[in-house]
Amino acid sequence: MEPIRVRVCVGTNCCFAGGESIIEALEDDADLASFVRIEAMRCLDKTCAGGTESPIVTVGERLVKRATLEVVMEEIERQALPLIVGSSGKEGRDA
Amino acid sequence: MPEVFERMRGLYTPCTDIRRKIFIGITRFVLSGKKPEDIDYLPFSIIDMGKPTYRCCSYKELSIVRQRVRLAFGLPLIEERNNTPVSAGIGQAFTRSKVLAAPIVNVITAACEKCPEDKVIVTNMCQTCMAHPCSIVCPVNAISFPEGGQAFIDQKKCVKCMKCVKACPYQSITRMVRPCAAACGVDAIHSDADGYASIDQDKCVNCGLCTVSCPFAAISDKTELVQVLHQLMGPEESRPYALLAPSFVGQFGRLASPGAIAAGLRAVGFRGTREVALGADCDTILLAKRIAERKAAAAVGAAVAEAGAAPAGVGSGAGLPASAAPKAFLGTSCCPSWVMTARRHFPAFAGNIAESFTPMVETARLIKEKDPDARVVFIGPCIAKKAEALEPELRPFVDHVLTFEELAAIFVAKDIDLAAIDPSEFPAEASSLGRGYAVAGGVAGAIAETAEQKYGAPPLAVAKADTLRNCRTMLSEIKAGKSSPDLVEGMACPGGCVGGPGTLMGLAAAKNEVGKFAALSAARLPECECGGEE
Repeated sequence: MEPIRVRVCVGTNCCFAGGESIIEALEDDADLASFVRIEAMRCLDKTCAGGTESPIVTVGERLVKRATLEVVMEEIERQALPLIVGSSGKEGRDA
Repeated sequence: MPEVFERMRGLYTPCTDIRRKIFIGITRFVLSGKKPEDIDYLPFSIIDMGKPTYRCCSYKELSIVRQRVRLAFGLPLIEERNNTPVSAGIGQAFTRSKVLAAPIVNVITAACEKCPEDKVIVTNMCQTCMAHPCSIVCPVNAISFPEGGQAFIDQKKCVKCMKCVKACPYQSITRMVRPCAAACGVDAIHSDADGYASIDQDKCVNCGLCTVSCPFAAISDKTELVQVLHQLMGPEESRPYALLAPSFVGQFGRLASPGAIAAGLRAVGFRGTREVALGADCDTILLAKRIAERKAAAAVGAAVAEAGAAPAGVGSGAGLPASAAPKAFLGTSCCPSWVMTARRHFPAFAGNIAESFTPMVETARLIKEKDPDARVVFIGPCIAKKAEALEPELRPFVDHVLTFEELAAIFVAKDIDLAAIDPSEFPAEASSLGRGYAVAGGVAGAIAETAEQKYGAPPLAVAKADTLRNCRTMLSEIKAGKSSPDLVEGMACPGGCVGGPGTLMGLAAAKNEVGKFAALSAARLPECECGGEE
């Protein structure tokens, strides 16, 4: 199973608007390690628009603007659930 | 259960959000050159009127943001009852001179939810059980079951012994302590007559942990953001130097290397950057020398006493020189909140705490000795440094103090991206041990290692504590003779400076970054230009 790629912008705008808290929380969550790959990234062509859209996170193909930990976790669960249930027939995580 | 200030740490909460938005808003306001009286309009650009975001209604939000703006300008709170505008007297804050005055830490009454101070309460989990061990174990008969219903605790009788909390099979009884008061290690927070939190400024040591522990963001410190911005906007030759506290590494994101931070400081107008670990090196040498000399004197004294006392028998203990007495420890001086707490609560130990300047002042001194007209801004995790820099004898050295969070707001407002900037050279000036001052244990560790390696001291007994409550326990034990250390380190913040209220990064990651940066130093042991002269 290919892990879900989660990229968190750690440019200064995004860090200050909560990006640092998001990436630290994701990295500290041991439950995610088996199916999520977390990466720090630089600003995507100023997608954060001078901070008004910060912080920027991508989950798989989806771009999340003004990301919060709640929204990012929800999106990870949404993308992960079919993968986990489908890949090994193991019990799915609590949604 | 972790300490109250650890429970929200590292989370980006609406309290973090409103604080940072105000810092950014004010920075943009000042940089855009708007007139002071226009500040009355600023809160409306932060609050969405008619659409409550943080609290019950936007008018309340507005009223609180006004107070936060005042504090961010370094000015006193406005009287809430007589409709004073935010702009009242605000012109005086548009300066590069110091306007900051005590008190540094303030309660915004409009934001305070009047949490009960300290109360044992029965929650809805109570099943009105047949056994009701709660009322059986209660030593003061404070628990009753009105109308045969859930348990009820008579607050007038309750002595908070916690016996009922432990006895309840449903864990339905809990103790609720006001978070600000729980965070305060010097018991400086009480309720006023109306139930609002109130800080006893004679007890407060400005550690600032209450400001990050209040879940309603009702306690805030003043800032010097506006005055520093005026310095940065001034002519090149009068722009300030940035002094970076040892805990700075990694605070601005994992892609912002020390060199990138230095380049960013340059880009927002600072003349140059020095690391405060340099001043830490001066302090290490000073204290290591002193403690090595003391130990040597004590050894001589003990040898003399032993030679004299040996025929008379063992165990009398008489004839030991004063310097070998159990209470003759040397206390570190780099954390101002710890120093104030130790001196106030243990006056008998006041003389044990080193009188030396803090690393902040030592580093500022290094700059001002070479360039007396230089201006210096200390940037750190610390709120107590804001108060320290107000002391008349230190004012000539440190012009202003910012937190990492306040500096980050300047980077954001000026659209400086430290992850993309061309990094400048960050000179390896300070020792590994000096850079380690940021983490609890690092100060005493540096002094002990230097005393032993450089000045031939025997292995030293070290006692250390972080958080003021633990510091007080440590000193009580020394006072009671339970331990007799040579060297005592106290830190007000959990984990040391990396756990300070003005930090941006989680504790574990911050410690790790400080360690990695310390390993890059050219030397492990400190060298100091002044050679430890006082």
